[in-house]
Amino acid sequence: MSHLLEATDLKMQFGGLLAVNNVSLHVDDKEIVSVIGPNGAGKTTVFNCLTGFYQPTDGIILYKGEPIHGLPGHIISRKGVVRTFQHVRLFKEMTVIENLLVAQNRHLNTSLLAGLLKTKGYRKAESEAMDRAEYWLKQVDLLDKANWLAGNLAYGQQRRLEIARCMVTEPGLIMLDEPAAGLNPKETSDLDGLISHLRDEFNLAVLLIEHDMKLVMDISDRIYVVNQGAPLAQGTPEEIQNNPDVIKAYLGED
Amino acid sequence: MADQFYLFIQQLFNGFTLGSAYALIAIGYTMVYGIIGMINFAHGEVYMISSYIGFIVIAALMMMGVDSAFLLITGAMIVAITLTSVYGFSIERVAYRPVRGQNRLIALISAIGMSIFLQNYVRVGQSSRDIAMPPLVEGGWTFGNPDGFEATLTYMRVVIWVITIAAMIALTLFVTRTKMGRACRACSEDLGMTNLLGINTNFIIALTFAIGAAMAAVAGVLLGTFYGVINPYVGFILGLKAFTAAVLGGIGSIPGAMLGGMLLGIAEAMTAGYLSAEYKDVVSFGLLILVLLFRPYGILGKPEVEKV
Amino acid sequence: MIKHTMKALGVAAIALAVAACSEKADEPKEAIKIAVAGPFSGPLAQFGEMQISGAKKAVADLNAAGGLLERPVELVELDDVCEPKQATTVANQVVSAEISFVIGHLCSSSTLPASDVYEDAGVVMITPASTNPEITERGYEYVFRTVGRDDQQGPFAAGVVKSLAPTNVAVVHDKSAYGEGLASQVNENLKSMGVNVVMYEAITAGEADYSPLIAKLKAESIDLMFFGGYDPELAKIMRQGRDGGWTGQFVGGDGVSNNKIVEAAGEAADGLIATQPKSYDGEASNAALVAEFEALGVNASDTFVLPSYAAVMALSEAITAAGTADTAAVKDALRKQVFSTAVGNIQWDGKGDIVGGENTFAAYLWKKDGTAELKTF
Repeated sequence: MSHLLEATDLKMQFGGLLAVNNVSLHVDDKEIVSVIGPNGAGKTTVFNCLTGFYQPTDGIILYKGEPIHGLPGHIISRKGVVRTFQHVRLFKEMTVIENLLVAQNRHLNTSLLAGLLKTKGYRKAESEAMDRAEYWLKQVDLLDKANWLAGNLAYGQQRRLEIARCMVTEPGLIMLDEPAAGLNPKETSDLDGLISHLRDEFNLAVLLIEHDMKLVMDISDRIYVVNQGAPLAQGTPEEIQNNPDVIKAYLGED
Repeated sequence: MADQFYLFIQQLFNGFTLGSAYALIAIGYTMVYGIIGMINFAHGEVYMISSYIGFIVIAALMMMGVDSAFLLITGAMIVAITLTSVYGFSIERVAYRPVRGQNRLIALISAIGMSIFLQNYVRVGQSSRDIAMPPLVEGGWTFGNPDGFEATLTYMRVVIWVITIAAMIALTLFVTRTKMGRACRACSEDLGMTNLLGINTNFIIALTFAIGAAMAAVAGVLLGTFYGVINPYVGFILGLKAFTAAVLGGIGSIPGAMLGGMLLGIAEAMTAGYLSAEYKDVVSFGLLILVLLFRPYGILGKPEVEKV
Repeated sequence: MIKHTMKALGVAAIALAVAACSEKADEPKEAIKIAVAGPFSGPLAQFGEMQISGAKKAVADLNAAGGLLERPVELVELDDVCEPKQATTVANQVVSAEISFVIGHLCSSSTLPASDVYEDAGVVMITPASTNPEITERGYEYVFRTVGRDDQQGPFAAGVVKSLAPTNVAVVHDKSAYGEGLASQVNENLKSMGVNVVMYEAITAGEADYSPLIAKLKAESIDLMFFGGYDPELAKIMRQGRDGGWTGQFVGGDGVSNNKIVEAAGEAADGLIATQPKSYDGEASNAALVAEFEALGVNASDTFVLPSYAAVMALSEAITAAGTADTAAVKDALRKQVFSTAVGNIQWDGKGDIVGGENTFAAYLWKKDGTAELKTF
């Protein structure tokens, strides 16, 4: 069976530190998969390897059957893998709508000349990009703030904008790194709904790093547990909740 | 009394012209710093090379019989901007990209080495003596008191101001309204994230160098024609002053570079005019220190968030 | 026993000495090296051109006539770019290469530090161009010049200025040893002559923009500006001056008096008056020499060509008179007679200056076609 994303025996070595040690995981179409583990377990490093932010020391990563390990970040992104970080990384000096437009740059006709001359093809692409941006702003309920500077939004709104920015690139897989961090229970429940909605309506797979166990257990189809860079367990939420090793290692820490 | 007024106006004209030069060159420093956090020490030489290209093109056109100052300057501008952008692009490839991600000191030395290389490359090719060109645009307006002080505003000065303002408007439009410009802004805010959104950041960085070089080329052709004399070392002092202007206005901020350049030019002209040319540099750098004491990031600068 | 050894040693010594002498007689004569030190690259290279072409011809003429003390003469060219640090490096090179004679340097700011090294090492130095008075005011014995001094050029230039009867005068210099030296001389002399000096200012060489200075000239109603410095700077000032609407008279010293200034300033250079060491290319006695220079493509009226030629020739005469290339003897020989040279009769005084040096300066009017006319004031 071919997976959407398949990572086998990922290793990441920083000098003397082996941050990721033989982690394997896969994500299938329309799955929501979570990666959990104690702080410092290497979860973000795994994300960084999968997206080309780091070049993994070893391992094979396949996306839609194609090897993507070792490719530069912007190429991997163009193939349909997009992510967020633990801290919001919006372009704070640009407006909300500009954040969504810049994420679509690769869709626009890249010729500088076409831009200068405003050819028909260029204008059509620009207006499509605008439409897409507007659509997604509506989806995350930020349309009325389209011309605000991204840095002036509230934290929860910024998080939603980040997700909209991911969606605007028409990804096949989005990777969210602690999306619930800093959100209150109501906002977290809204996030829960949003992620499910995105998966259901847009043929999207989601890979999630999270500490909020309620969200994880509620939303995930499968869970991987990672401890000190090495795989500890994997399975459905029920299986994980009842796994003695996992319970010993860390469940209960919130 | 009126004489004093005209003298002041004259020094203001001088200041705006000098300020235009500083502003155009400062843009190059500020854009590169904004995007990769490094000072392009070879940028002054980019200006110098564009002056030489301008002279060569004008000499060639004159030999072919072209007479009109408009055609000469336009021709020189087009060729200089094109070639100089290529120079800017290759400086990034040769001196900066290979050492990106390493110790900053290495990049600094690499850039200084590039600067020395370019100075001597031109010196060997062209000789280190001053090369001169007859004035292309002559004449101007005079006004004031013929018995007292008469201020002159030469046409060439006006040409410089108009073209500088046009260039700055073009750049601002580019940065705020085009998709490439958006990508430049995104890169200068967060290079890593921009890359992860599918934008080829290496290309954007190279483009930034090229744009900075193009701005310097505009200055190079205009000022080369205005002063009429160039040598391989003109880029050094001008580059240093323009860098100072960029820091004064807030390094990383394009409007800051424009503002800083103008301020510095006017400050220098006023000091040289009212005090003495000897104190010109003292006042310029004193101004820089003063501004940095109260606004450590420059006039329009913002504190930098540590780029993850 | 010892007596025998001593005798044997003595015989051996004499034998060696004889062998050495006869070896010398068979060897080809070692060349006498003369170093020419000046700016052969950099913004003032045009002056170095003049210096080297004068010296080269002189050395060629010497060799054509059989050399010096029956030895060929070799010219060694050393570039100091008119920078004091480089000049010291060059001086050290001369000494370590065991060269005993130097024609140079050119810029006073180079000659001053270099001459310290030469005096120390006993190298004879004749400068064909440096006019700063201090060069010969330090009690040095090995230092000479074939041009006058700025405390002679100064009064002369001031006289020229006064005869132009200006109302308000500005004196500007470039802070170099030569430029500031000359300017201060001119300034003092003008004041004592009762000329109204309104401005005394410095500029920084290498700057591009002099328009504030021009505005000041206009504001103070200056009608004559004297510049102590070199032609690249004055060219820019003249050009920006005319552009800026200043119509006054420009006057300068030998540092600006060459046709490069017309190349750089174009029409703005028209009417410039510059003082410099008299040009002897018009003298009948030099007619043949001037023609020979012309055949080589050298303009003998360029300021330092003939002084450089004269320096080499006078040096060679002194060496011949002394009968040796030993510098202690040569330096004395240089002071023992009057030399008839391409720049007139030269007698050197105890300091190494030309006796009657105050008469060695003349003023020239530069025209936009690049020629200069001798003017008497």
